[in-house]
Amino acid sequence: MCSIPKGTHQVPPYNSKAFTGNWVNQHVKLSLKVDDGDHVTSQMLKMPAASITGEAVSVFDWRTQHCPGLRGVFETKGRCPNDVALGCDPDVTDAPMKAYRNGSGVVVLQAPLELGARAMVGPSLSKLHHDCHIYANSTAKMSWDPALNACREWNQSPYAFKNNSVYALTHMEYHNESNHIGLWSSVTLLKSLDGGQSWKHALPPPRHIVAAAPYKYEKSGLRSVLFGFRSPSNIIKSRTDSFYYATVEAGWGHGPNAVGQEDGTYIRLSDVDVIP
Amino acid sequence: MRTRDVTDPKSWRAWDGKSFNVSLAVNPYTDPNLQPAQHICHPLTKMTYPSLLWSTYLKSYLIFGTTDGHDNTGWSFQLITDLATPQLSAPVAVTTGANIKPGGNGTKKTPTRPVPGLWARSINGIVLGTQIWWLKRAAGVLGQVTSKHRVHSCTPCGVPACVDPVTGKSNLRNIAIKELDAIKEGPTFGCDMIGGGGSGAGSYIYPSLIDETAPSADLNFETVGATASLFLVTNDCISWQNVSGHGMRCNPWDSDGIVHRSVTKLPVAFHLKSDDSMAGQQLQERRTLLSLTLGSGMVLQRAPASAVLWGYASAGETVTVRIDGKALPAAAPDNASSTWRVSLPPTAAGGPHTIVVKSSSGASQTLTDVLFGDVYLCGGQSNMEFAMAFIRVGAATNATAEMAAAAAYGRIRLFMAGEYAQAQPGMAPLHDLQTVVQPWYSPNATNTAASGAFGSFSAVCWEFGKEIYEKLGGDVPIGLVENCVGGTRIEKWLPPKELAECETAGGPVPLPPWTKNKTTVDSDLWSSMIFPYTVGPMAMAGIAWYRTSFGSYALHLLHAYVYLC
Repeated sequence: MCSIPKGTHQVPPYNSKAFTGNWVNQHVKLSLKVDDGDHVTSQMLKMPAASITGEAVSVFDWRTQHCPGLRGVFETKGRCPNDVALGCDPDVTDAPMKAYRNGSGVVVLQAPLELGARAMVGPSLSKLHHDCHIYANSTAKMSWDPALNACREWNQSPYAFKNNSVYALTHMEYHNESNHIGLWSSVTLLKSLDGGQSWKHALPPPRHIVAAAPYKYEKSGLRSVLFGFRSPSNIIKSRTDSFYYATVEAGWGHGPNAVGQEDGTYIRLSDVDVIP
Repeated sequence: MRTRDVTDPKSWRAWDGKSFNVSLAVNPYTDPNLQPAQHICHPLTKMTYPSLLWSTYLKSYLIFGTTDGHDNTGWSFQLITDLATPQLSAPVAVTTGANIKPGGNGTKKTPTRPVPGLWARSINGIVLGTQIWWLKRAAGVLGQVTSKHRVHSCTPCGVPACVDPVTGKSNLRNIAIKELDAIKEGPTFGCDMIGGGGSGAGSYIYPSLIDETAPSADLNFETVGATASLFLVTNDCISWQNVSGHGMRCNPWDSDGIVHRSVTKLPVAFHLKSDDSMAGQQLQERRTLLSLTLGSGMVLQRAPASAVLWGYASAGETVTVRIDGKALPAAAPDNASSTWRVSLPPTAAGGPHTIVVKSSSGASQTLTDVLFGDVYLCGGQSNMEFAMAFIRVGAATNATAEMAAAAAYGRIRLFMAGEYAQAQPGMAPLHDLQTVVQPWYSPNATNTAASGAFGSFSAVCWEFGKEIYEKLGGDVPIGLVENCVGGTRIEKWLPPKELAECETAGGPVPLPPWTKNKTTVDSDLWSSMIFPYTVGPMAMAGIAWYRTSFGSYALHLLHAYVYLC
């Protein structure tokens, strides 16, 4: 007989900072349900799993819901060739969808794209319609100066506040102007003060850099492709401390220039105290 | 990185394996003395495109994304014990079923066949081992290769290797019209259009796990429950290629050459998978003193029906119900389901009434502003989901005006169930709703304003209820229960026993073509979103069901398949 108070008890290692083992290869003792003072009625050893449980449901069907073409808008020399088939009329998603509810109560499901990015909006996540309003278009003001880190930017990690401001981490890619070669990436910060309707850099470039490679762009070679920080996750507010967390991916090519940095996803955080 | 001001990009600090001390906000162009080695952080996972979430079900943070950074390796999640000292579990792969194929692994059987009459959009051959090239039409010379665009890699499928099926060679070459004709009539190139890195046709890419129904402290969907939605971007076009510096495009033999991408969502359920002795055990149900289908502000079915109140209590408890102070006979929960029930005396239309429910354990709940009238359940798919905020009928009707007008109908009461599919097929039905998007409420000036709760209510259900209300002279309160999920087949809403007993004329109902690459589970929504109303049961005047082509694929097939019951 053991003496355990009546009730259901969470048992480590869940929520345990001290746990250092392998989650998956152990059967984790999850809970003890105690109906009276000394009788353990249920003791389950479980480990987590996840599965797809139903059918795919269409949220956005490009063939029937895409917005009118952007032809003529982005056909400036150097930005996009005069050919719709070359991606100048996409109205597509080119990064994971991210959702938030803005300060006005509107649910926004972002479809990140570096040009002509749209969102799906509505009162709830299950009742969205495709909004043809372009909320972000980094190519309209893109810079060919790699020092600015303001070339093609995917607004990828929005985080909304009740005063209708939204901040977002971006995935920025620098492509060489002359031959469009290269994928030198960094993570920058955008802000919106109107609930996500319009965005601009949180600070004038390059002061908007959150994470960038400590090496200059190279037109060819190991540092020319997939080099730098990229693809930020969503931002999450910690339940136990005052910080926000997000992850970004890092790519450092291969060979001696990698300086020991491994590819992978990295975690970072910021303090919530001064969030507007 | 750590910051005191998230609006200051430079203040973020990254994890170095021990603490958040690494600044990554560097610029080698402006800082000639930059020391790269000082701006290195510690890797946590090989996962890409992650969603970072708190799970109320697993009671842990989790990171959910693409396994190992390759789209076609599927999705997985890792638990994180503590964000402040991040340590991740080993990846747990998401079970997808045979018909869900993440990434680009053969999700669409589209042969690389030349398009008759559109040779300029046809394939020249398969060359260089695993790459496909296509040709453009040169002026006056049909079939001459003018462009050599690498499309993507392909894998053998019915042929020994990705070679030109005409010649068996793997050399890029010009093709004469005669040869093109031969290809037209002959075999296809034998390779599915499979993209490297998940870029293939029909492939699911860019995962995002989102759950709006789980509780969250603020405006951001950073919490998931036992279930969540996996939003995925789908490559629609037959194949696409990345044009350096210009983004992506569909290959020219696709319908219009423009890149197509759509968005779909898949239901994901988390389980606490146990050892063998626990395998298949039902997840713990959510049960409360009063069924979640009931609540203050609701409408109960009027006389001559006898409305039922019900809920859940432990063995040995008794539950008493008082309506407007008048006590009704006490009830005890049945042994099998722990459900207690109290039938109310048939009550004429009107109200409001106050109902107090008390358990001998001390738990109690008071329902205020309860009306008696006619209750209708509004079911169906996306047409029933279509929300008030988006209605527009001609130039005369707009959502804002229609919603504002609804505020005058305070005796029409609304309830919206949340989408929840039973986690595993074949399990016992759930005794109560697992999610409620909007508990009972009445339209008023606040919730019918822009962005108010009323804006998300079913437009069809509302108009249906409003018309009945007006036809009854405005004397009978109306209760409307929105209980629908877009894109669902009728078979998902039917109980398994009846579905099995109902033979169909024409034999077994074939699955709709849109389910070809999807999981298909019958009766799961009946289990979680219909059965809970039958427990009391909830007395109703009727059910409004909006059926479209999704309603039954059997009916969609010109009545070739009709249920015989």
